[in-house]
Amino acid sequence: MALDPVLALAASLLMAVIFAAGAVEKLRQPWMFAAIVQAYGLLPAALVTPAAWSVALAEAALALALCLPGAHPWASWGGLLLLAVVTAAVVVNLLRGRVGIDCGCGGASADQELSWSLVWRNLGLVGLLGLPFMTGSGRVLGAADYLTVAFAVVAGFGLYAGANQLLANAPRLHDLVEGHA
Amino acid sequence: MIQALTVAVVILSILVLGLVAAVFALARQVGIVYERIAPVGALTMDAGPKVGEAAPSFDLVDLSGERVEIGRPAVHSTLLFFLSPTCPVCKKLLPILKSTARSEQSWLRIVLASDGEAEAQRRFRAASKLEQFPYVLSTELGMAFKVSRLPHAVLIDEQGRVRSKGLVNSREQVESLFNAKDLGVATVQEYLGRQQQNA
Repeated sequence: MALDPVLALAASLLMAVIFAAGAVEKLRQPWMFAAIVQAYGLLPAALVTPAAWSVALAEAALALALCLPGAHPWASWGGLLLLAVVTAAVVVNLLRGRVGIDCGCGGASADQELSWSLVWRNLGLVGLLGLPFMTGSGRVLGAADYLTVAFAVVAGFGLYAGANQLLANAPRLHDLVEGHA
Repeated sequence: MIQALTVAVVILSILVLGLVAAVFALARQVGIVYERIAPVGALTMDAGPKVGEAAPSFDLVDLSGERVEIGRPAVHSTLLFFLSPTCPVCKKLLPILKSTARSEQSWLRIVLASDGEAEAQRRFRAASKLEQFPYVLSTELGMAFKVSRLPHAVLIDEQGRVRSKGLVNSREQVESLFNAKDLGVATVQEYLGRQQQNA
């Protein structure tokens, strides 16, 4: 069964907002994001700054592309690629046991350390990017549909920000519980 | 019927947005509460120079090019604060460090220590307005004090001995290092432990 196009549109616009929020935060303080990329400890020093700029600009480009109807499949694949790269970087550092570094997610992500929950969150974002591939183009959208889309994007971003705040809280709760043990 | 459904959807949408905002605000408030009620006293790791021992001595040059001595007899005690631009908790402690520097200036100097790329550190220092503190970059310093998690603080007295140390996440934990020095115990946990034994 093909899903309704409202879902597809809402999912891509929500991802556009999420990428845009991440890009704004990274481009506001590019040196900070470069320091975070360095802390991930995956790249030789010469590549750290170019890599940081690439990620930030890729996010900004994807945010724009996801808003353009024509560019859609490419933007979705690009988003999946970017998520795969950054999630792989997180997983490598989790396996190394280096959790105390800022995730560098930016935007609505509060000040998060690395965690497996972050990997699950990114899988959720992958789902959002994949949703448009499963929809039929059957129905022509009307004014009410666009209101639904706008509502869904605002509510979805609110939930995303709330989830990130809870992820940022988790290590503090852990310290609290350990401190009394 | 259609009109009733439309009205219902509009009302529900408004309610959902309100709930989303409320959930976010609650999560944020819970986060603030966790920060404020962090465990009393700095968490001490059993690594590096022990409390009461002489601190390893270092002659370093800070980011402004000035000489900084660590672990030598000095007029003031030294709070050696290990931080990094990429550590989320460190950023929250910077205003606390500044106010501590003011309130304790009669007996204490604060030295910030980090390692890594100098350019990023310089920008971080300028953006966070930390020019008042000596800021040294030395991987050896962190290794000598066996710093594993940040932000980590070490209080070194006028004779160059370690008086207290630990992982600090809040104002109370920074102050607990000073209390530990005043009370002559290694950590506030040890002090509380003694109180319980005496009782």
